[in-house]
Amino acid sequence: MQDLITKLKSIKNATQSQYDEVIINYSKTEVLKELKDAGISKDDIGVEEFDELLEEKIKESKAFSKGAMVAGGAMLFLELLG
Amino acid sequence: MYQINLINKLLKEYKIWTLKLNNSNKKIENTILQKDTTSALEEKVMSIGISYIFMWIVGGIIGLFVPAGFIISAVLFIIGWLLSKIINKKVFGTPRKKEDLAQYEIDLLSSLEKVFNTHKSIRDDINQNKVIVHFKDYTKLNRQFKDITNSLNNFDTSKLAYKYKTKFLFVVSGYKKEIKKFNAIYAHKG
Repeated sequence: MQDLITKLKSIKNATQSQYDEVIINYSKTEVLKELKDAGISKDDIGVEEFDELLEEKIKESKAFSKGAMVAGGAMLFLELLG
Repeated sequence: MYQINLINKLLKEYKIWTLKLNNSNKKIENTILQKDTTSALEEKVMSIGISYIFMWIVGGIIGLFVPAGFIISAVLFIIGWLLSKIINKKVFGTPRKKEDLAQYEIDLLSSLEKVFNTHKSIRDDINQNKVIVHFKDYTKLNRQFKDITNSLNNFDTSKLAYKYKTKFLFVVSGYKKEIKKFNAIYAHKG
């Protein structure tokens, strides 16, 4: 997770969709890695099940990277206040 | 042939289930540790709201007696901001370190980890073809889940901020769903 936060912090002037893309790509890599560790190939798992795991991972990644994303855009104002 | 296909299907489901059990564990741990950085943003939005409401209500009351100008409004906003910090701490809390947890909280987290490690080890044995008879020791494994369910149901959430107290109920319900899935897969119970 620290890798993702470092990556997000290093992106300057990115749009929300660019942040989302980084998070989605990171989450996909993590899910595939977890599947491999569990001895499951991508063909073994149905699309629905894969999407369910991916959705969970995206939620988790977003929850932990919001602070890093504050560095870009309108959220900076709120950060300065606090 | 049908039996072999069924066992292979259940083994695959079991391995996928271990990932979901791990996700559920993480959610409970993160809730107890109050680790959710979205709180930082929610807190700030709430602080602005509270400060604004405080400024208008108290400013309005003062305005009945003396004209409330910009300076009074600014002072009231700052007071509201400081008040909101106290309220936010109760509502959103602050991240907790593992070493600061109470013993019963540490015990719960280590029980969750122990149960997951048991299943991870079963999964590894399946992957390394070390298992001759699959889905054994159901009674023992089910007992572990019953003990965990008991601990989760009786868990004292008084040390958690309001946001995490509510979240705890939600993540526990998710964990219980995983136990049901375990029964469906491991004991082939519907």
